[in-house]
Amino acid sequence: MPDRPNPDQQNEFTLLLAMLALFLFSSPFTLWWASGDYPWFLPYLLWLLIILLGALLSNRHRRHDL
Amino acid sequence: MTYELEILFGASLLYLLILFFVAYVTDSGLVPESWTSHPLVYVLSLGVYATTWSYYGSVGFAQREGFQFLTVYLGVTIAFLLTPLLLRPILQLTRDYQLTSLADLFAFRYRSQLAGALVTLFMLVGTLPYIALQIRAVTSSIRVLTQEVPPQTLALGFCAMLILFAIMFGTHDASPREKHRGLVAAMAFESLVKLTVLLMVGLYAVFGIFSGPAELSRWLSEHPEVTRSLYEPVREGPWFTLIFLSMGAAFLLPRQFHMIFAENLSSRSINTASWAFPLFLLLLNLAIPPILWAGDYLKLEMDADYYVLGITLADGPVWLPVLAFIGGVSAASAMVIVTTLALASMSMNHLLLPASYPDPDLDIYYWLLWGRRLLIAVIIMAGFVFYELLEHNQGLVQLGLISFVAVVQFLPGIIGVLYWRRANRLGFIAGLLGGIAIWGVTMLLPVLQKSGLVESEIDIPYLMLSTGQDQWQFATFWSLACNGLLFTLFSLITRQTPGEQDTARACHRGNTMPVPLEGVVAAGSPDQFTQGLAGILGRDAAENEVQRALQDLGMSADETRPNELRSLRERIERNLSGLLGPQMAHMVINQQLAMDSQAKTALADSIRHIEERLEESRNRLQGLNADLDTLRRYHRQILLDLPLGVCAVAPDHTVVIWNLAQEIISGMAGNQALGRKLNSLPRPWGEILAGFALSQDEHIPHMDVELDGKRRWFNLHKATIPDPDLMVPEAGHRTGLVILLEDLTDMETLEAELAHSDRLASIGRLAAGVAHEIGNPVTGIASLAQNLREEQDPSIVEESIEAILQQTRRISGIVRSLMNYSRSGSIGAEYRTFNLNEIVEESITLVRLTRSGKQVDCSNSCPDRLMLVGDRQRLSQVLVNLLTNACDASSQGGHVEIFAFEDENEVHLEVMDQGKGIPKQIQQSMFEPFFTTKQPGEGTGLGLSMAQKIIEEHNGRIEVDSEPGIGTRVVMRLPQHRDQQHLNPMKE
Repeated sequence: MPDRPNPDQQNEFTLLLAMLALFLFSSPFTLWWASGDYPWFLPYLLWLLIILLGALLSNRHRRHDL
Repeated sequence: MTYELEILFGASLLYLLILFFVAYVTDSGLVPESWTSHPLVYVLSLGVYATTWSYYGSVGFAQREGFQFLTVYLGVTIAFLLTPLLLRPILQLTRDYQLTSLADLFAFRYRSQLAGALVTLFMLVGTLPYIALQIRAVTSSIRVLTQEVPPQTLALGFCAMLILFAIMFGTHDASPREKHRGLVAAMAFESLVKLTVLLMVGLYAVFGIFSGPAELSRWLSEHPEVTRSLYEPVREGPWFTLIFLSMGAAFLLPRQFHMIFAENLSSRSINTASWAFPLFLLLLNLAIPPILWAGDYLKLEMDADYYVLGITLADGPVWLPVLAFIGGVSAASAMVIVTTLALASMSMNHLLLPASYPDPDLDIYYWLLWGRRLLIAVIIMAGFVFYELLEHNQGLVQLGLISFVAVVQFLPGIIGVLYWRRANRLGFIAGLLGGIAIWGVTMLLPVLQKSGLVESEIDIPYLMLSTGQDQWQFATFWSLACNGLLFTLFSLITRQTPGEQDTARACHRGNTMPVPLEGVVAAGSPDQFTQGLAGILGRDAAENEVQRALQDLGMSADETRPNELRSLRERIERNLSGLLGPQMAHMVINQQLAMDSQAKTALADSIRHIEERLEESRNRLQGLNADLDTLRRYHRQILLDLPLGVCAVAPDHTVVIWNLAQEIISGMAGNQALGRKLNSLPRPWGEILAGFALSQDEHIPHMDVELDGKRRWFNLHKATIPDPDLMVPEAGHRTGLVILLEDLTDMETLEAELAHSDRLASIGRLAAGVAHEIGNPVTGIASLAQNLREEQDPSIVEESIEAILQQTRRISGIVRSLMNYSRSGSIGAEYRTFNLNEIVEESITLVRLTRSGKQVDCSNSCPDRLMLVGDRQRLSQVLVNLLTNACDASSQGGHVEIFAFEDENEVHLEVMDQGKGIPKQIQQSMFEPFFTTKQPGEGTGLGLSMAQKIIEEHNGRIEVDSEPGIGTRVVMRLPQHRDQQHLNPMKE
């Protein structure tokens, strides 16, 4: 049978990544990193981390087309 | 440093001309299509999200609210991360059903023109402040650079340029369903400009104002309160609310919806955008803190919203402020153009068309084109009027966020589109009205109050703050809570219409159940479609739309199959949806191309309909459904790849399966055969298959068919497909059939060659006998001729000549027998009537030429007048083979007898010998090819298998009765009066 990308798996990873993003930017963890004495570019680094994970996930499932 | 107004005007005019040029060369095809459809262009075009609010306002927002300015982009990042679950399904819907705006999507899902109109009106009201904001940002930036209030004509001129651009590159077709490559390229160019300029200003802040990163770090360490002021609002402000708002705005804002879905050129691009667009936003925002700090460092006495310009005026290169100004123009123009295009098509489809549908005598394309152009001008000018009326003290971000809170009112509706099948139009409309009402009071009214447009004693922002929530939290929470509650409540207590149920099924991600078919299209041909549509679209537009749908589906104009006509109707509806909006298209189609619901839907149509729907929804199936679909495909593939021709028909004899082998055999593609009745297939297949389907026979062996002037042979088999709904077949109830075609042509050719080889082998064995039989008369002729030289007596001469002629006839007889026997013959030779006695005699003559034949007495006891119909040469071959075997088995002086008799139905032909017989264990396998008990070189082992094959081809039987030590009797039974038509139908 032909090899098909698994949309279920992609959806699971997508949800996990979105939950991680929400954890970083929309949870009590946000208050934690906003309370510390961190350099100004910390939010940008966290943002970049999410973007890189998103790129990794997208590349992994790029064969899955409409 | 100040600038002359003329310089700024000239610079912005030059920039807009460059924008025109980019759009023009792309639309003209001067830029390769691979460039314009590159995912990077798509990603950059989405940068239309970043308006002057991002470009100028972010710095002011950062000064007031610290890192909260990032929420506007972090929410977008989360929304784009959810692409497979959120954006891709919407993209799929918009592509499948040609939906070009959010209003289209809701009008389609909730089957409601009112829903579309409400969404459009709310979008217009919610977005006008945002358009006004862009105009204000441009005029304010001019004021910063020129230090004087710019004349209103400048803002008007800017609006006029935007109207011109939007009309030229956003409406070159009547329908918004067309993609606008020029527009996408121009928007990508605008994003590139604003990103580059903002990064340049940021670099100038770091290196020009602070003399490098080290100096900036030192300044930051000396002023720790600067960094703290960025972090503090995160803990205290409406951080979570703003992230939520921007998540919704990421795809619900009219410009975002337009660029993400309506102008998407390649579905793969959205995968790239899921991470590349957030990266673009990150880069754009990287410059904001340094610009803010540079402004603070310089102690600029201006609104921080315009620090992007302000810092460049302090000892910077003279061109940098102009460049920064151009970046702002770029951000404003992109937003206004795309938003206006989106709003114009929404207003056309959901406000103007339902209110005043044009007369069919008018050219509807022309009407739609100019209608949209007019709407573009009206919307931009309405934005200008709003700008004029607005209090100029409103912050850029304040105006933008009003639109954000407005568009998140569509989130409950989106959940209904994608995930909640029970959601209905009443729920959507009630929820939206409730949300709008609260938004109007909490968001719009304070702006109007502040601008003096509405006078009221009530201080709404103060009331909101008194609840312990700030304005954004209060407005967002209560408007959405009311919206969601009403949406859920009304959806639960009211029922969906059948139309809504259909579209809910079509939209729902987990949809696996194809919509059952009901009735057939009343119009019976594409011509009738055109006639039907002409009543409302006009003749030319109707022809154009039918032709377009036919082309999309690859159908011919003379198509009449019900399932194809249904597909054509659906395609026309989808195409019209892109032109008139989904609800209007639905009404037009229902009115002009009605379904005949009384007509019974054929099983074949239902099967094909289900299969087509399953094919379309392949990627949407999940879990067990996906596994079942995979299994279905696997089984189907087995049928399609069978090396036998497979043609399955429904009870009404409509073709439902036509596999690859069948395509090759018949030369007819599957899509030409599927959905057609067997008897309507082209010759000769129509009559062959329809005849076979109706006949009682379950098999037709060896059918001779002439195809393209060549003869081919097939075995036909059929089996019934019981109706799964009928456990016990009813008498006279017609069932489906599966017909198999076995192509025998190659086998026939091979067998003919084998038979010929077998004959040649026999001739080889006969060669010595032939030489002897011919040699004797030749010697006699030679002696007689020698004597004739000297003989004078006429009577003796006469006698000698007669003797020579007699010998010559003997030779001719042998040669003729050999010739008859050995000619290669063609496969499938015609059957003829012949005398059985003659071929028996000829066969005996040939066998007598062999060594064993000479030692055995062969006698022919066949009646003289017994006639047979068949292939004379091949039956002769059977007799030679059997007689040779009989002689070989007989001892010297033995006797072989051939006799025949006939009854009513058959001719019995027997070959009997008194030889050594055949052992029982050998009798089982003696008809197998290449089976022989003879020594190598004495036989090929093909004789008996050939004999059996030839007799069976004549619809006869061959049996062997042998007793070791007593002898063998081979009995052949051949039909007495053969039905020649049955054997060779094509000859008639």
